[in-house]
Amino acid sequence: MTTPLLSAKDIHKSFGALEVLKGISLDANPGDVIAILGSSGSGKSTFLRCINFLETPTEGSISLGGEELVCRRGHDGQLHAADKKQLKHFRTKMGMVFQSFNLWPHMSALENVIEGPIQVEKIAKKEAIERAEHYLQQVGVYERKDYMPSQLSGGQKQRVAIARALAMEPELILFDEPTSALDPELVGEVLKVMQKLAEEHRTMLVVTHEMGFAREVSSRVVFLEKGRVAADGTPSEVFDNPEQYSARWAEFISRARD
Amino acid sequence: MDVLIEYLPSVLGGLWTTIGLALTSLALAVFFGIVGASCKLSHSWALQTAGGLYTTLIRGVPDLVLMLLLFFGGQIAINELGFATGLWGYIEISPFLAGSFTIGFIFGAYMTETFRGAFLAIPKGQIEAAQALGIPSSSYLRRIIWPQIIPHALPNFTNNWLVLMKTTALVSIIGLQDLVYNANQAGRASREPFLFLMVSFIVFLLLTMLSDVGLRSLSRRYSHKSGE
Repeated sequence: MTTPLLSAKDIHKSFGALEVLKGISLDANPGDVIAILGSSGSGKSTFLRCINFLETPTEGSISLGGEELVCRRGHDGQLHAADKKQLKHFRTKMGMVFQSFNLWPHMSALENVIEGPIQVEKIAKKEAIERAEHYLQQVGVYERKDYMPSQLSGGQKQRVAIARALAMEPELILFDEPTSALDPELVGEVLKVMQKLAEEHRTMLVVTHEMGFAREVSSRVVFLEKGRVAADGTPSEVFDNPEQYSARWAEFISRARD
Repeated sequence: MDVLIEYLPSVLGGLWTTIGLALTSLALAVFFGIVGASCKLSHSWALQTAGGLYTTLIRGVPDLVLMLLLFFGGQIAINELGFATGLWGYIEISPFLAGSFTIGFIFGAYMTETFRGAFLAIPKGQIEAAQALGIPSSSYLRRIIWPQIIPHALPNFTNNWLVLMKTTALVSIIGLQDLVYNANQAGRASREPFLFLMVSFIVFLLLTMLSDVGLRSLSRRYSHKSGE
């Protein structure tokens, strides 16, 4: 068996007395598109944020390509990356797309995309622009490259944010509810881009409420319930026989069908 | 009219002192403000306490009291220290230096709150987006946070600057020959106190109006740039 690209082992996370994650393990192999589902409060976003340490886990470990992130316990009782350089290295290999886009408002679409390659990889501006234009083209917002974020629609903003993540040429992309902040009619254009990325065999972890995406596009579905994995399998396995996994999962999809 | 022409050069000479003092104080205030805000926003308990103490104390005491305390008290403290350690002899601090330091230190406390508020107004996701790309903190502070702090801080910054400029009038009591001091002297000598008070009145009004126009256009430029 080959080493998985990403291996999250027994991730726990507590906010004070509240234990949000109660031991979640997940391996992702190259080309996997894993949809992470769960009702609000199930810990799905927290789990995703623990993978690139935007949230510090209380227990557990993260490995990328077999290399484990070295941690030490901080004064707050949480695990922190012991080596900032290693964390930075991990983060450059993992792109992230946020629910609220988080584009930098004082920079144009193009400037948002070239910032990472220039500041982190220290590549020449000309090269960064070429690369950025390529990815803006790929997500279909090339014509808007000189617009400021405030002049873009939600769907366009999110596609620029995806291009920003792609421009670092990451091995894995984390999507944190990428369509939840969008108007219903704009969800489709973002999902289409994500589907295209899946077809290119990019490795993706997608926290989402889009059951259609989970069922049609993902290669694996993980359902979280109260900080634990309650269902884990291929879309056909978990969607066709939900009762086999957990009562909550069966209820979750029956409610989504209504 | 003749009186005005006779004394105007001396009064306007004080204007340069006033402007120089205001700009030096402003630079110091911005410096103290950035340091203060960094302390208050840091994770260290000691720095937070120091920053909190600074803003609470300074903002809670009248400027005039602080000015006298820092100018005379500071002078005594420095000389006592020199005497006790034997490292230096008697030092007389220049009123300009003492004045700008005092005003800068006072307004640094207000600037601290201005910068802190502006920083907190930036959505946390802006920083997370930079962190998730692996951008080091030195880069994103400079390229992503700072350009966004400026438009958020400008309205308060403008207020602070206007009050700071008017506060420079206080230095006349420590003997610095600024606009107000010279106008007062001219008024006494010519027995036309009202005339020369009107001169400082108009000059101050012009100064504040000019800076208001300048800062307003700066503010427009920034809001235009972020497209808000």
